[in-house]
Amino acid sequence: MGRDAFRQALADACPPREGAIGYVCTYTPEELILAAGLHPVRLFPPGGPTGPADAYLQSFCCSFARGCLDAALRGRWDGLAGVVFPYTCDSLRAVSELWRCHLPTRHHLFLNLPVRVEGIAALAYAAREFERFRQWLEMVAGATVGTDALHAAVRLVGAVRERLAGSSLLGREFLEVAMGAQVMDRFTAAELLEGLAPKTPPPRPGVGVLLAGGALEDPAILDVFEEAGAGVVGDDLCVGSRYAVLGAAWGDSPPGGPVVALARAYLERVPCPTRHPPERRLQHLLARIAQRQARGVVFLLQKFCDSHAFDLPYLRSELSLRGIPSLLLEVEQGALARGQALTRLEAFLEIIGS
Amino acid sequence: MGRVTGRLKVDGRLKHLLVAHYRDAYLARRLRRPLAWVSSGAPVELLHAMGIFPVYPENYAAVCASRRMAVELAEAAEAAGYSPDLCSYARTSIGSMLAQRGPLNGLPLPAPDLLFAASNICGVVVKWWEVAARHFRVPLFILDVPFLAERLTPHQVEYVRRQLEEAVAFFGRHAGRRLSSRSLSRVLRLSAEAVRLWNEVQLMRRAVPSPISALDTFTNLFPMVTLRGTRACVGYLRGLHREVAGRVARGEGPVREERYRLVWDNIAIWYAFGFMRYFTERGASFVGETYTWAWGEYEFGPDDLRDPLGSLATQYSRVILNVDLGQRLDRLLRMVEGQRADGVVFHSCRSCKTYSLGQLTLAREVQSRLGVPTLVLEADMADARAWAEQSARTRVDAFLELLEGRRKG
Repeated sequence: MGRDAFRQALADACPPREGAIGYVCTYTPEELILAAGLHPVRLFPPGGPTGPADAYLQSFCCSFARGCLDAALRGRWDGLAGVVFPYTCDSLRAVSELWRCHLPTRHHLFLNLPVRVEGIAALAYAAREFERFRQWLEMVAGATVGTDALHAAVRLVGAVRERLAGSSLLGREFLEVAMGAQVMDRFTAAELLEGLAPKTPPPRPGVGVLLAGGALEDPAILDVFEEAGAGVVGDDLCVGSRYAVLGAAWGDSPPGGPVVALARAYLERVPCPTRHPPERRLQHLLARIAQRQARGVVFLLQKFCDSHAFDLPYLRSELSLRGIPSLLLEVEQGALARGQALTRLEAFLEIIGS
Repeated sequence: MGRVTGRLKVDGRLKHLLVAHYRDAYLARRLRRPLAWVSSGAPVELLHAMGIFPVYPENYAAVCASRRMAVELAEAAEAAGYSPDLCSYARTSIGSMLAQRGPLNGLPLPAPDLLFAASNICGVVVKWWEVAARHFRVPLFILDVPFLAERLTPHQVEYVRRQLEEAVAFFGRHAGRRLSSRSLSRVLRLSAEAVRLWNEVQLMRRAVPSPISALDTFTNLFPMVTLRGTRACVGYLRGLHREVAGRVARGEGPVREERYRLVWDNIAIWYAFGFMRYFTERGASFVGETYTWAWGEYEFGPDDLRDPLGSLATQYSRVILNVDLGQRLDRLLRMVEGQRADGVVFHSCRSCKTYSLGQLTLAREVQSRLGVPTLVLEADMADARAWAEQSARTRVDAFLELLEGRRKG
């Protein structure tokens, strides 16, 4: 058990259970899915070359978005009761549209989240969208989403997030556990995470680097870091630690009710590059670097990802001004160009290790 | 057979408008007129009504591309770390900011006093405008316009409307201007008149032969994009309307023998107008473009003047790049049928994901529902580096041969 269960959950195409709701982005309030008695499953495409999706998406669509549609067309997620796409980026919005047109998933929802995450208007709007999501879930589940159930779900997901955030696992092991936790039953995830906490933190391996970026398909992408002699001491990835950072905790009677409180928590989380304004992201990245005592940052960029690519010159120059070296590696079809990545990583480690 | 005619006479006036617009932009600071950089999907009527001078980095990038300068500017952005996979308009604009040069007397676009972008055309403009805000250290307002999936909900409209109220306060704070309902009503009336004239010009292309083709509308789009809401725009469009109506009455068009009537989907390939002329030479007229028609979608009626901000919120939510595939398909089918087109050319533009992703499904649907053949061409609107004109021409030849076979069959 332990880490194997997370690895297995990640490898399984779709949990063999009823009421699984697939989603692709951490802005999906999975607390509401759980409160409806349904099971949230984050969709991670398997990586590798795509086939059926190439008939619907041109080559300049990022391979993560393409991989999602491709895996769905190949039947990987046929067991889903429903799928929800929150607004993330132009490519995933297109995938949502194509999924709705070409796949027989019974229930499909585009959760129309705001780009702006500050201000009263954005909060009021996001709360209405969360409410619309709640009603959709009630329709899918055939049951009411009650306040008590929502509080319980917030506590459960909070426990998963907290245990992940406090985990002393590193590198590929952490990513496997974090990604697995977003797929498996959340009660099981919370319990297993409790059992995984090692009594003493593991020794810090290699030269410490922090990984930053968006979505990734497969934790195995981190193997090349180990091979190069890098120690991945932490991350700011949306499939990793950014999932674990969400301040969704409140008392029994939050102002405006629990759905509004949940919407506020999602808007107040560290923004991903698809949200505006972007300033808090740099502060968060700097805090992560300091907290993990990383010597440098490796940005993993999904090729053709506009949102992350636009931020990179700014983030890298801000890091450079603070004397923090960074390296950019492009990810395509779930992998790095191994030989090139290895050479560049080794050169980078030489610089930051000296 | 129609009579062949060359360029539109109003093109001379168009050049004058373009020069005057950019001259005024460069003079704005000296005249103490606040200048804003605006995205093409933002409600510019507010700026006109508040006396703020709008300039469009997207239009400027198109000018750079048509004058063959986009590539070197894009390369300047790439040298600064911007990925070559990013939108070529954005790279051109950022490169021009960084290198401080451009095609208009060697100058870059004048620096803005404030920035205003709407998310209704893509997520790219949000990031691009953030880059500009950091570069110029000026205030930025992002108008967040949620995607219109199936239907526009009241809370969506309310969200956009509340932001428009915030925008008015923002412009007041940073540009020292106030909004009067009288001036907004005046601007909206002018905007509505421009839209009416533009739509009538587009519908006149239903005539056989079509009086104008894509080259004319892509060129003549400039006043609709940058001057919508001004008297100059309406005056210009009246001239265009008169001239096109005259061509219809005389049976004139740009194609010697109109054999094929086509619809174009997506932005123009600004550096390859010679390629567009190739269609004309081969007897093909473009009778509509989803891109140029998009500026006819802002239809402000007298009722809208009672609640102008609510009306702007609704209209700017319905733009073509902000609606779902079903609605895009409906608009496309209506255009193909209404304009009596017998083929559709999809420009699969690697820079513009909101426009291009989904086109392959649209192409299949147009074929299966109307039996109309389609051609998908890979290109980019501003970055000519990957453009292979000869192979594109070969594909056009094959496509037109297919249409010819259908004519005979």
